[in-house]
Amino acid sequence: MHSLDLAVIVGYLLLILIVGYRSARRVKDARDFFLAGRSLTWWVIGLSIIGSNIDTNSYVGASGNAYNIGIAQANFEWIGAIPAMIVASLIFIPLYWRAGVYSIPEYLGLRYSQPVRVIAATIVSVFSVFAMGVAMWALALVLQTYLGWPIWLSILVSGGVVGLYSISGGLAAIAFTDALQVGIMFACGLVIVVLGFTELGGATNFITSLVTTNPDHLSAYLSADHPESPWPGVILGLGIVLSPAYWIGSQAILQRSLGARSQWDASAAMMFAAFAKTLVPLLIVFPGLLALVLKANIEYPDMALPWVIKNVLPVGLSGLMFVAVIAALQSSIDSTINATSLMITRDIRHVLIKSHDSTQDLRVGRWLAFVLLVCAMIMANFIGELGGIFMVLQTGLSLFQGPMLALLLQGALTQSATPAAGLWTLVSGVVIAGVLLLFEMHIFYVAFVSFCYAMAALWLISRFTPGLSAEALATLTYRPFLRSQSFAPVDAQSLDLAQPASSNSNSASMPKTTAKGQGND
Amino acid sequence: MIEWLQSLPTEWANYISMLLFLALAVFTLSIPSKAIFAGLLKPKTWQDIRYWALLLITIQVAIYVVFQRV
Repeated sequence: MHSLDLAVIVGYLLLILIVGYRSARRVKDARDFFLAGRSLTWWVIGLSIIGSNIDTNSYVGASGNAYNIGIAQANFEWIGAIPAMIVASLIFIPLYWRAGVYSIPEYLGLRYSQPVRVIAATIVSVFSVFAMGVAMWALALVLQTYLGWPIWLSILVSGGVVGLYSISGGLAAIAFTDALQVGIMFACGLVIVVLGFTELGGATNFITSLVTTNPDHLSAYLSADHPESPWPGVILGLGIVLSPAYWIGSQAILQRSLGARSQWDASAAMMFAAFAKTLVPLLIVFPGLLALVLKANIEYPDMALPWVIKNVLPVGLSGLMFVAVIAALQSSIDSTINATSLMITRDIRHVLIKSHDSTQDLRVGRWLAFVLLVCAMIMANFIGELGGIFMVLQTGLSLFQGPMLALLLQGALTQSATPAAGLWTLVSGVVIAGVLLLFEMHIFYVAFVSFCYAMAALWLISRFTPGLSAEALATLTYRPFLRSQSFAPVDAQSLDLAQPASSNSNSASMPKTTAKGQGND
Repeated sequence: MIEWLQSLPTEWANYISMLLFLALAVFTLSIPSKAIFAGLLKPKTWQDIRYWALLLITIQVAIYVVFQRV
């Protein structure tokens, strides 16, 4: 590696450590650590959302997939993201923000019951630890490939850097470093586009070369019998189930929205992120197509992006692009650490151990973040030996995303969904998805079928079981077309454990629950 | 339903996507402004994120018009 590239990498690492240190000085309590003191502005949150969203699979895997299947890979960023992001921005984020919750499981706990909250938080936390291990391993692989470091040293260094700023600075540090990282990613992506077109003599030559040899590579959809990307599966599974489940239910993504300084900032951030998301294919799909047109001599499709970095970018910029790849991986790991730590601290610990001392949340949250990071670093050492764990991870996600989406949709949009129906639907929906996977159904279709089942089951069981009071539902459901609907924000502190709802002066606008076992904790 | 969709030509995927986006545009326009501007003391026109959504939808429809199977 050229010394200029190395200087760029060292400069980047120093910069994010400084940003993390500055944010750490402002962390005084759990609200600062988990929600950045509810101080984040829309553009920081928006960039941070994209930073957390672009992960290993997106950056390296998607370029490889684009090399194979062409622009159809971009559906993960378009039909597989934008509609759900718009709906999240207009409906769900305002609802979560007004409810004053710290997490999506906490909302499910308020809307349904505490068992639903604990089950949802446990499932997501377990998968998050695996996901962190995979991301850490991928990060170590990148460092090993470019710098020649051994895997264990790469894991130690990358884990140390991520841990330093995310454990000390909390969500604020994560959001600001993510924003910085996304800025670098887009700058590098645009440079690749410009240099790629320049090398081929313009965009027209690029398109002509591409479609001459690969006529389907500029088609947004591939045939219904395509093994990797059948179009009905993309629309039904990805567009209608997996994508909304992710954009309205992912704690790692939505946590920064819950840390917005106002409801408008929370909503606008997701819409801004959607604009950035539209351009993401330039970063992750174009390099794959460029490698194809330039007839890259690569062994595997996943080597498309590394080939472009090495052969298209000049010295200095290749270091910056290397930084962008590190940044993409780091921003996913840091968000998952904070989100998982939050869910274990509040959604599991508060409910199961009945620990209602929120002053301990900061200490517990930081220790948990450290433990999770160490677990991920240990796991990362063994991921390579386990082979296809990434696919196992994706398959596992399809187990519960359909039922979780059904709970969120009916919970937020209808008055009829009941606590008992929520619990039974979540449990049985996961079991049914598991059975479908045993029959080797494609994960897109598993997600769609389990979602349809969960929607029907939730509706049906709710007909025969008692629901929440109208007063409780007023804050927890979305009813913008009612004249009486209040859009006044709820004071987040009013829902905090240290200040019981009944003793707070803002209690009139807070969610009051009457069903057994309800309440924030 | 899945089998019926599988029997349609691939171009229909683009048409279905465009229809989904148009339905989303209609929904976006139906949301009252009080829900958008909640908490803002002096809302400005640029802060109406319904317009942001409509611009996004237009871009998406254009994308699915351009990248059709030929």
